[in-house]
Amino acid sequence: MPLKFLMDVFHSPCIKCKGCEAICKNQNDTPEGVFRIRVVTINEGQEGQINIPMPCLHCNDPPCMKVCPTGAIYKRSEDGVVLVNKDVCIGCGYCATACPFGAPQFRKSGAFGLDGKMDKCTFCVQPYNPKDASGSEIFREPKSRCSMVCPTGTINFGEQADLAKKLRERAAEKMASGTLESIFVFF
Amino acid sequence: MPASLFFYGLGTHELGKPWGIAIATYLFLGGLAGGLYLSGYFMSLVKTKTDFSRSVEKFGVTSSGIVLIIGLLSLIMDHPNVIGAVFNPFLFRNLSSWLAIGSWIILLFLVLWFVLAVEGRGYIEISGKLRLVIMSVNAFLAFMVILYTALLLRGARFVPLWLSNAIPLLFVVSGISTGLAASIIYGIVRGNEGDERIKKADMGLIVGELLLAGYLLWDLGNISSSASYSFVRVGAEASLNFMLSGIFSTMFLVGFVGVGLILPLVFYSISFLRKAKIMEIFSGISVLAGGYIFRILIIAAAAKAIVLP
Repeated sequence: MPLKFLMDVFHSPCIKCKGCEAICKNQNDTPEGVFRIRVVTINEGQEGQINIPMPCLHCNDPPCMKVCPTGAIYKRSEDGVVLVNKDVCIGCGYCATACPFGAPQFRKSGAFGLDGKMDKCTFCVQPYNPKDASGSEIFREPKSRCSMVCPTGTINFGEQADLAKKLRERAAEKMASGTLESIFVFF
Repeated sequence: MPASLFFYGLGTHELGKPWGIAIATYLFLGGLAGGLYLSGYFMSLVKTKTDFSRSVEKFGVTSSGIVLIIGLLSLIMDHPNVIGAVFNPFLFRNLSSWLAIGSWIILLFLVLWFVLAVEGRGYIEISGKLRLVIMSVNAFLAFMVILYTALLLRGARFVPLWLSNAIPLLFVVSGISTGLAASIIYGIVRGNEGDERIKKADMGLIVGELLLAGYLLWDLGNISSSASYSFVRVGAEASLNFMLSGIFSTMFLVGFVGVGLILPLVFYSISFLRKAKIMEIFSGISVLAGGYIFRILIIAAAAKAIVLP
């Protein structure tokens, strides 16, 4: 089954503690300026302000994968995790313009810098430089740390069918109690 | 709750800065290179040759490849890892991406341009018919280079400004117009008498651009009021506001429409009435400045929005 994130910001509002950002950087050892997940605030200081943690949503039909000229972005067939092969990535930035969520990240160190390859959320299956000291690729089991530390349950992670079931149950509860205002969900 | 503006202006949005002025330069020089080649190609087809048409033909064909290479250098400066694909073009294997398709078009264009340049310098000999075939094939590739710069943007399906049907048309017309303008400047600076046909053609293209700029605004207005998805409506409305009353309104109204379109028409008209060569140079410079400002604007005013139910 494809693995998915689910953002439930209306029923479990994000309080912008940024625990997800911190654990992500710690776990994946991403360099300065690269955020595999980032809390975005919309309508800051105004009525309707909302905080949304924004990782890669690992789309079923990823627009980043479609536009990648070198085919560096691929979807793992076993679990649907969208990954990037940094040996093939040329850092053109096309994926970043195509992604509706701002997931692709680029470390830029100015003109003629050489660190411009794309980096993105991998459900914690890959660190930033996926090779150990002996040069072998490091792969881990999918286990997104951000969802584990999220104190409000805004970020949910798991199999798509399970998440959808949980959401339906929660929506039904809210409807029964007359408190359902809106549902905000990413699949 | 309606869709809220998520991020905007690809040079300024809060989740990253993938494309900025270097990409705008690349798009502009790509369009200019295609336009230069096409103006040189058209001059080669003209039956009544003048000194002006001969110099424009040579200049257009020769300079197009150099301008395109400068554009590629601008891209590489901003995205240095792209250099890997220059040495190994077979990295461009995802042919559903316009960047890959465009790169192959550029490569083929540059190969044929190099053959023509070598032949022009007298190092090899090509028969007249074969030369015409190569010139014609490369003219098609030059057109595709211009078109590709617009279709590249269209690949980003969540930026309503780039999805407007006016954008590819504007890029093509503007690319050819800037090519003609650069050719006119070169011809005049070389001391030749200007060719009225080229001036008239460029004026026609500029009028076309004015109409297309109006169509772009109308189209964005239309998208912002009637698109099915709220995030598309919000993105289109944001781009429209940026260009008409927001932070990029001066760039659009004064830079693109004023300097790039109205001013050249005025200068060309004066040059027709008074035969003033300096006016033709002024108009050419205005067209080039307007074309560059237009590319910067299209990158800067691109807005994306996120859906909130």
